[in-house]
Order: sequence, then C-alpha cells, then structure tokens
Amino acid sequence: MTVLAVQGLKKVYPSPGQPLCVLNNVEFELRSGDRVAILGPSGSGKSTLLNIIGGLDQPTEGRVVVDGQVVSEMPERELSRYRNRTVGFVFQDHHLLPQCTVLENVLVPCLASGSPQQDDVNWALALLDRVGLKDRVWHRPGELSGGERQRVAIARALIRRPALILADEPTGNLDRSTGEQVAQLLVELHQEQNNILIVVTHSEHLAGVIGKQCRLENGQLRWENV
Amino acid sequence: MNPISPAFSIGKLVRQTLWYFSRRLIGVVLAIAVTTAVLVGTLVLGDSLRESLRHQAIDRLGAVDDALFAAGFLRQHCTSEWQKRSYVYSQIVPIIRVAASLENSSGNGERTARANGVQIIGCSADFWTLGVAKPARHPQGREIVLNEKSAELLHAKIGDRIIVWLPVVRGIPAESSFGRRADVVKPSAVAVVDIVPNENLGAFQLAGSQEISRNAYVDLAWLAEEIDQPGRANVVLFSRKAEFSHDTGRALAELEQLPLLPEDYGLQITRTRRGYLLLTTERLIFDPVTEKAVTSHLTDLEFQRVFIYLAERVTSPDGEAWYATVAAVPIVSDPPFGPFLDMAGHTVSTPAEDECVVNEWLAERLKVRPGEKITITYFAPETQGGDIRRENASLRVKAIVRLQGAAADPELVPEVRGLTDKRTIAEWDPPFPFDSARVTREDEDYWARYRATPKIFVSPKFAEKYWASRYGKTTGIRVLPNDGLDEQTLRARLTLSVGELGWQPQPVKEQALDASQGTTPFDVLFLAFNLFVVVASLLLTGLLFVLNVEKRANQLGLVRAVGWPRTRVLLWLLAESSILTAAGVLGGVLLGVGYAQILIWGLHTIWLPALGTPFLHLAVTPSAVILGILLGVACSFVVTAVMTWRFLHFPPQALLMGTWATAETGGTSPGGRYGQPIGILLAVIALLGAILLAGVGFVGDERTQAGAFFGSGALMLFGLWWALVLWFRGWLRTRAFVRRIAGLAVRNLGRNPTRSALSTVLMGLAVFLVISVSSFHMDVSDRGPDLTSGDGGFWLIGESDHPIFSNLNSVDVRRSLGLHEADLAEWKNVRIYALRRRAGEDASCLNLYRTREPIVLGVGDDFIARGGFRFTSVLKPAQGLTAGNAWELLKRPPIIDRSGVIHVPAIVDDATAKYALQKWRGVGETFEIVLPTGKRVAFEFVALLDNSIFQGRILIWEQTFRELFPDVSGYRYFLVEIRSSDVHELNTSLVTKVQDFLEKSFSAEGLQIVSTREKLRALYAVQNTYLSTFQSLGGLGLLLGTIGLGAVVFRGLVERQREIALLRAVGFSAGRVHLIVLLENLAVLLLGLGIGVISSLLAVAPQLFSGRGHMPWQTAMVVGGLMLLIGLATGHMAGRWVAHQPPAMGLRRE
Repeated sequence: MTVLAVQGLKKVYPSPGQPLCVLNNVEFELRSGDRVAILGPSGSGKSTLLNIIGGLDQPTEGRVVVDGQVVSEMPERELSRYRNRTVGFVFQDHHLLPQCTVLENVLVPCLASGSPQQDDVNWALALLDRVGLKDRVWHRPGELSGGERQRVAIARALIRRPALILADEPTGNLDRSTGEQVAQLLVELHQEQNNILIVVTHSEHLAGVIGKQCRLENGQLRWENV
Repeated sequence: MNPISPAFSIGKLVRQTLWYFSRRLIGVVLAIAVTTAVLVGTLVLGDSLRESLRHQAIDRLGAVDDALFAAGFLRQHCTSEWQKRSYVYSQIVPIIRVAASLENSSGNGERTARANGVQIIGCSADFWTLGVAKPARHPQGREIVLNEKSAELLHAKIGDRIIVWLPVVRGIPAESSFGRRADVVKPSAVAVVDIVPNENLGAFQLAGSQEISRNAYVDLAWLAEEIDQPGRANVVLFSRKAEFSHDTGRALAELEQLPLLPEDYGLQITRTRRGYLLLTTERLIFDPVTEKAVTSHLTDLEFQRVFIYLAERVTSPDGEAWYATVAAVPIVSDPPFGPFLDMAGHTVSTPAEDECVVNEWLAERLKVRPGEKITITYFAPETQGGDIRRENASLRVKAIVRLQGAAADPELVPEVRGLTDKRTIAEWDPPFPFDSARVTREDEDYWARYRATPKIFVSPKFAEKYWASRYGKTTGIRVLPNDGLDEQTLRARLTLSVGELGWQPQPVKEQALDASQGTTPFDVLFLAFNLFVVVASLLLTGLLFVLNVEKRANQLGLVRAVGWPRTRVLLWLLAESSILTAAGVLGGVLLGVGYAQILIWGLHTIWLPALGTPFLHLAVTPSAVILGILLGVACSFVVTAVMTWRFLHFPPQALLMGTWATAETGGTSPGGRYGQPIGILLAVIALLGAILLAGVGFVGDERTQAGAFFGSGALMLFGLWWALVLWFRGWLRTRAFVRRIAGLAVRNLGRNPTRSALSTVLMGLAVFLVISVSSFHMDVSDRGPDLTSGDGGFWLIGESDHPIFSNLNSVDVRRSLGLHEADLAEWKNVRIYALRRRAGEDASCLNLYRTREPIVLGVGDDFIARGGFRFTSVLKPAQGLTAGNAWELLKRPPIIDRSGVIHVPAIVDDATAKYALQKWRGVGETFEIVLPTGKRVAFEFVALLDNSIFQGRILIWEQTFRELFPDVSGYRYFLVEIRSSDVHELNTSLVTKVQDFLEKSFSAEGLQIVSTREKLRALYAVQNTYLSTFQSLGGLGLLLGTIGLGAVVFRGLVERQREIALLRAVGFSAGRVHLIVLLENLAVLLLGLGIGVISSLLAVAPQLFSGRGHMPWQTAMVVGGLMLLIGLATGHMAGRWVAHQPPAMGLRRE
C-alpha cells in the first residue's frame, strides 16, 4: 500500500509585478487504488502540482511525502531514482524518441541505470500487447497515429510498475474518440496495477471517466463529488 | 519464452540517435575535421621544416662526417698517410676552400655579371666520390664547374670564360707591419665546363643556412698553384666507416691524434753554420699556440727564443743608420749561442730592458760609446686602418761587440721574401715604407758581407714590451743539438698531433644535424597564425552541436523525467560527441596533410620571404599525426562537452516544455542570484582595464606601446562583447517595447543568447585580429636614416669577400682610387666606418638553422664614439660611461674566469639574442663559442639593439676582436654615413655615386653595397611576411566563420518556422518577414564588426596618430566587405526560403 501525502503545499513564482502564487496550502492524501482528476482553467497550477508530486519541481513551502519519504527533501540522485521507480509520467506531448522503436521507447526508463534485462523486455511486450500495439513493436513513432503514440507513452510510464501514475493532459492532443479510448485505457490499467493515478485535465469529460475530481482555483484545491 | 533479446543499451541509443540525426550532424563532423586538419597540418608543417632542414644539411655534406680546418695550409700528401693508418675513416679527402668573386662578361655586350661570396672548392676527383652528384668530368687546369646557383647569378653557360678573383695567400699576416696589404686578390681566367645541380655535393656547404651556397669547383692542384700553396690544402674532409657513423667521440679522438709534420704547420728546421738548429715559421712570427706546442717538446733540450725586428732608423747625437736588423735574444757565453765579446774581448751579457748592445759597425756609424743613448725608430708591430705607425724607443748602449762569432750570425734572421732573398738592399720589395735613397754604400757593403746580421741586440723583455703583437713574439727558436740531435730527429720530435697544435676537428655532420633543429618553431608559429581558423571551427563545432542538442531538448527532459540521473544523460551526450569527434578527426587527418601541402605551396610562393628559398618538402611523421589527433580530439571534445553541460542543469520540465531558452534571457539566470551583478561587474572591469592599459601605452616606448595598445584592444573587445552578452540575456535591457521592424529584429537576437553571443564573438575576434595585428608590422621610414633608429643614421652598408686595408676616409686613398678634386670636395661629408668581420653563420631571422658560430663584427673607437642606434635594453652603465652611449660598454677588457673561458662584452640585436640564439633574458645572457684553438669565448650581452641592421651579428670592440681572432686581417664590413644638415636636401644621387664608386673600386675584393633601407626591409620582410600570413589565414578563418554562421542562421530559421508562420498568418507579407530575417542577420554581423573595429582601432591607435606603420585598410575593407557580403547573402537566401514557406505548414504541430 502506497500513501501519497501532500502537506501545506505552496508554490510562488517571482514576476516583475507581484509574486504569482499558484498553489496555496494544498493538502490531500491518496492511497494505492485511488485515482483522481484535477481540473482547473489554464494557468491554475495543475501541471505545477503534478510536477511537484513527480519530483520535477520544488515547492516554495510544504512537502510531498510518499511512503514516509519527503520528496522535496530528496537529493538529486534519490530524486532521479524516485522518478524512475515510483513515478510514471504521461505527458500531453508524448515525447517519444523518434530515433527509437516502439519497444525501445517503452524501455527508455530501464536505461536509467544499466541496460534493460529480459524481464524488462517481456514486461514491455506485455504492456504493448495490453495497449493494443503488439503488432507495432518494431515501428517508429513517425509511423504511428497520435493515439497510438500516446498509448506507447502510457506503456512507458508503466514499465517500472510505479506506485504513482501522473498524467498531464494525456488526451489534450487527441480527438475526442481517441481521447476516450486513451482515458479508458488509463483507468483499466490503474485498476489492474492498483497504483495511484492522478490526471490533470481541463476536460470535464475525461474527469468524468476518471471518477473522483477536484478543482484547483486560486491556488486552492476543492474536492468535488467525493 | 520471448524470442526478442534485450539488445537495447545506451550504446545502441547513441548509434540510433546519430544515424537518425546524421544530416544535421554532418556540419559538426566537418567543423571538427577542419579543426583537426589545421592542427595536423601545422604540426606536419613543423616536422616538414625540420625534416627538410635535416635532409638539406645531410644531402649537401654527402658522406662527409668530420672536417679539419688547418690554421694555414698543410700538405695534401699527409692525408694519404693518414688514410693508411686510420681505423675509423674510410675516406680522407683534402680540399682548398676559399671565398672569391666571379665575373662573367661573356654575354655578347651585356653588362658583366658578378657573383660575390662564391665558395671556391679546389678538389681532386676523390671529392666527388663523397657524394652522388658529380660533373660530367672533373675540371682540369683552367676549368671550372659551377653549381646552378652560381651559374644563374653569372648568367653563365658551359663554354663561357669567367674571371675568378682568388685571394693571394701569404704567410705573414697582412696587418703586421711586415705583411703585404696590396694586391690581396688576383684574377684567373677559367672556362666553364659543367654546371651541376644545387643538390648533394653541388650544394656542398659546411655552414648552416637554408640558402643554397654559391659554389664553384676547380682542380685542387691548379688552385694550389694559383694561390701559391703548391701541394697544399686548407681543409680535410673525413668520411667514417659505417660502424663508426655514430661514434663521434672515437672519431674525433683519432682525428686529434693524427700527426702533422713540421712542414704541415709551417715550421722550418735548419741546421745553421754555427751548429745549432733553428726553427722558423712561414708566418715570420710564431703564433702563441704553435710556439707553446713546439717548445713543450723541447723541454729536455737547451733552446732560446729569438725575436728579430727591423729598425727603420737608428740615430745618435752624431749619426744615423737606416734599416737595421735588431735581435732580441738572451746573450750567453757558451757556444754556439755565444759568446758575445766586446771590443776588449770580454763576454757581454743580456742587456737590461732599457739597454742595448750594438755591433762595432753600427757603433762606428753612429759614433757612440757604451753609456750613450741611441734612438730606435721602428714600425709598430700592427697597422691601424692600413696605416703603418712609427714609434720610437731610446736605449742606453751597454756594450759594443765585435762583428764576429755569435754576434755575426745572419741565420738568426728568418727568410722574408722580398727582403732576405734580394742581392742588394736597393732591390728590396718590402711591404713597409722604404726609401732606397737612404741606403748608403756602407749599408750595401754590410749587406753584401753580413746580409741581415743584426746590428743591435736588445733584451727579450724590451722586445716583448714594444714589439709583441697578437701574432706572437718569437721569430725563431734556437735549439742546441745535444746527444746527436739532428734535423731528422728534431723533425720527428716535432711531428705534433692535430690536437697539440690546437687544430679543432669538427664533427660537421653532427653539427649540421643539430643546427637543422632550427630556431623557428614553424609548427607553433603556424598554429598561432591559424589560431583563428581553429577558434572559428571550434566555435562552429560547438554551435552546430548545441543546435542539435537544442532540437532534442525535449528528449533530454524526457529521460530526466523518467529518472535518468544527470550523469547518465551526460554519458549519452558525451558518447555522441566522442563518435562525432572520432569521425571528424579521422577526416581531419587526411585534410590536414593536404593543408600542410597548401601551406608549403604558400611558403614557396606568396610567403617566400619567410623562408628565403623554396626548399621545403612534405614529411608526414607519425608523431605529428598522433599529436594532431590528440589535440583535435581534446579540443573538440572539450568544446562539445562545455556547450552541452548547461543542458544538464535546466529543470526537466523546462526542457520538456521548451521553456529552457527563456531561462537564459532573464528568468532563471545561470550563476544564480549573483550571476547578473557579477556579469555586469566583469564588463565594467574589462572596459576600465582597457582604458587603463591604453594609458600605460601612451607613456611607454614604441615597443611597450604596441603591446599595451594591443592588450587594451583585446580587453575592449572582451568588455564590449560581454556587454552584448548581458544585453542578449536581457540583463541590460530597458522596459521599452518594440515599435519598429528593426527593433523586433534586434529583440530577436535575445531568443537564443548563446547563439547570438557566439556569432558576434566570432565576427568581432576575427576583425580585431586581422586589423590589430598590423600594429606589429615593421616598416622602414621614408624620411632617411636617423641616428637613433635601426639604421643608426647610415645610408649604406657593405660587405666584401676579401679584406680591405685602406683607410677609406683618407683623402690620399680616395684620390688614389680615382676621385677627382671636385669629387673629393663632395665627399667631404662622406664618412666610412670600417668594421672587422669574422666569418660565421648568419644568426638573423633570414636563417632557419640554429646558429653555432655567428658572424662577429669588431667595431672601432670611432664607431663607438659616434654612438647611435636604438636599444631595447642596456646593462646598467658602469662608472665613466658617456651618458647615453651604450656602445662604450664594449670597451670593458675581456675577463678570463677560472675555467679559462674568456668573457667578452658584446652587443647584439634584440631579435637575434632572443630568437636566433635563444637567450631569452637578453641583457646579461652569454653565448659561447669555441675558437679553433680550443679556447672558449663567452659573449656577454651588455646591450640589445632594436630592429637594427646588425641583426644576425655579434658586435664587440675592435681591440678585443684583434686579440681573439688574430688571423682575421683587414676590414670586410662597411657603414657609410653621409652627413647633411637637412636629410631631405641631401643629394641622394651622391648616395648612389658613393655606392657605385666603392663597388667599382673594390670589385676585385667582392665589395657589395646596399642601402640600409634595403637591408632593413629584407630583415623586416620575414616578420612582415609572418604578419601577412596571420592576416591571410585570419581572414580565411573569418570567411569560414561567416559561412558557418550562415548554416547556423538557416538551422535557426527552420526551428522558427512556426513563429514565422504566425507572422504570416497575422498579415506580415513575405517581403516583410524576409526583411526581419535579413535585419537580424545584419544586426549580428554589424555588432560583431562593430566591436571588432572599435577594439582594433584602439589597438592600432599609436600607428593611427603617428602616421607610422602599415595600416591594412585594404585588407580590412576586403575582409569586412566579404564578411558582410557572404553573411548577407546567406541571410538573404535563408530568409527568402523561410518567408515563402506556406504558413499552414509552419502552424501545424507535427
């Protein structure tokens, strides 16, 4: 059981005028099996919150605790390991490496400390099968559709069996139909893996698919349909 | 079981990435290849120079390993005797080597062609077996073989008849009062029978210089006869057996033990009628080394030194006598050296220093008695400026001896041609002033009966005090023949070794190889010239590599986001950079060899003044290639690593979102919170430093000025560029918003501050270097000679092959040379300073070989008193020194230290001291040579001349010169001063007249005169050629940078397609978009040009204000113009392309 605790999180950006406070005392707790969609208008700090949870950014105040470890206090090396083992990112832009095959793109996180082993390869193939791309294993991103690329990105996010899946506008670049498929896939995989899924979106529809929702406005988190 | 194996690794990722982006990375590989090509090329050039010098040095020596330079002339035959007993040498070949002038008037009415400084080699057919080049046949009799160099100068072809002005070799030193100074050369007509190529023995040369020697070859026997040395030679060449080729110690040890018979070193042994053996020398006077060597073998025998002199006149109150021989010899009682009996029959002893003993004939002539004084008028032992001086000495008559026995020994006097071989005194043909009218009948009677029997006997101490000279103080050695000693036994005893006589054999091949190491490190020099090409290509490497990385910034962000530590990302990037570097370096090696060949072509054509003669050939050595590779790898790797380092520190999300570029422009600034203030401070310090350094330059001398202003310009360049960098980053920007297109273009420079900074520094640095380096260009003033300049106020400078003894300032001498009274009046302000010259190697920048024995000049008191020239540094003046005249420092007498080294004050040119002789500290340093006698002389630099006509020479006081080099007679170096109250009004046709007259008068001596301006230009040409080379290559680097910049601009526009498409979408026409791109490009070019021009103007400010020096306006305009042209052309093409792309394409996300 993984416990994610966000405590008194604050993030302030300096700006020429007044400092910009995008997160103001955000607090919540999630456990394995929980999934939540964070809604909010553009610039509300949703991605910032996700980046802080994922160790890609540092809070101005407060902390993120995962299984007793304070993410914001981790040294750089440990933070890399956290992102590699505990977190799986799905970005709006899939950020697949065009020079690598689908399989290799999924295995990229395994290169963080050595080379992927046979087990990793087997798991990658299983994931690709699961996301419906078993016949595209040797293809390159340029040969895939947008939806297919995002599915590869999802497989990549799961290759290390992370406790946290953080998806930042995963369907933002997809048409409605494809986006729905991707969203459904995310939910299914979450259920299968029993991890914590946090999806940032401005799409009410996607938020509906995810289930539990909260809204980020003026730096404050307001839970809905709890 | 899954069949797919886990073959994915970092290595595979690297390979796939490089392959995928290969089209973009070609530029990086090319830039690395250029860097490596330049590095390899310059290193190969350096090795080619060394190898060419080495090859040249060895080739022209043939099989000659060692050489022996005789103090005079030795028997040719002794070499065959040596050959029989030699263990080390396979060949021993005698030659005669003399300097001569040649004339060829065979050209059907054309002017006579002259070649001065020709090395005449008298050799037998054996000489040619030492090499591979040989003439069709060996010259016989009045035949000559020329090498191509000499033939070219003489416009000679086979069959032409030419005149060779050979030196007349005389035993008695010319500057002795008893030596001959007239007719020092004689013409010999010879026919050209062959012309040999300028290689191998055709370029035979024992001195180190890349200049092809002017050689001519004649028959040894014929030449020996012509110079009155039948059967003799003055140089012996030795070729070692293969097994001793590297055993110099063994070889020289054998050489030094080679025996020389007395006749080989000029010693004559005669049994006299009185029964003793008399040793005399062909030189009339024993040189100190020979005397010491000979007497060291007589220590178990009884012997006496004899010094014979001539009194021009002897007077007493009541009488006089002319041309009396005087003998300085210990007077002893025992025969055969004694007794000397006075008129009363008593034995007489050696007189005191102020006494003399006269024979009865002279006593009667002078009407003197013992106790009375006589005055001896004699010629000073050495001439001064060709003039014989008379001196007097008074002596008290100690005794009058009978003209009999030991006191009537004519054999005390050595044979002197022209005197002792004449039947009567009236027939004398002496080298000193002689008035036959003074010779009386009694004199002739005495001569007929007693020949040159001495009339006066003085003490050896008196003779040593008044008559000893640098040539020696002994004319004969009398040896008592005890225990059956006879001529043969004495001859055997006095067969001395080469080493005993102080003849120094020289390992000429080893010396040549050592000298061929050279003093000019061409590789380092050309690396400096190519510095900008290297810097430009390295900057381009970094630029292009970082462009590629920027394009993939999201990939770096992605892998960081999925948990790659920074070190892993670094590994990925470094692995890519390594492979690119390897590919570029390998290509660069091949290009580098080609580049070296191009540089050699350049040195043989447009940059020929740097070499003097086109002798280089390409020599690719493994060490040059390996070092070039290592340097190429190191430089390229470092640049790519440095350029990509910053990407490791951008936050992953910034890389993912593409907002990392914004971080550089005022957001998250590199360097943290203190980065901005420190950056601004740095710019301020640099600019202030530039101003301060310029201030230093104003108060310094010319040399300090050049350095200070150059440094000031460099600081200014850095300061201005750094200010631009701050501005690009947004740290200096105002809050004003863009109102115009031009403003937008300029604001766009801040999109990618790193790229803009690198582009402007590329331009600025190139312009700065190309222009400012001209501040070091050297030029000769058009204002005429100046006392305090490099020409010292002299109009003309001349050198002769043979010594000139006449005093060229004497009206009588000028008249005797053919000047009429009207000319004499015109020549009143013409003063000629004659310097002594000892042959040696040219240590100026014109000689690429390392100098072992530079040419030494002896300056007289008149020259020293005159002063003049400009000095870079002077030893702290000693007490008594005339204020400001550094030349006076030469007059300190030599000091001999405990190890016997003779320390002599000397003045050299600054460049000679530092670059040729490698004495970097300058004043206070010493340069040592070894004299033929084995003595070591250390020239102590007491002052350094600044860019003078004396480059390559060491100057010492004439008096010291005469002591050190007694065998060097006469003057061979001349400086002509033409005084006028106004240099501009000086009739320059007088200068030409003087030049022509002197050359014509002394054409037989091979006198060649040039203007000091021409001389300085030739010396400056080397440095100026180097500067031109630097500017040419710098310009090449600039063009390379500009072209590369175009590629960068184009790539940048490809990235900005979306932005451009947006501008088109909101209504900008294609033309307007094109204009924006063009203006951006122009802004970079003008900013770079601007900071470069401002900084370089500061660097050359002294030249600008003084009007001196050479301003490369033309070069600057051509280079700047080309730069703008190419830059705008590439910007135009890129802008045109991007402006006409369909907007929809750019707006599409993928």
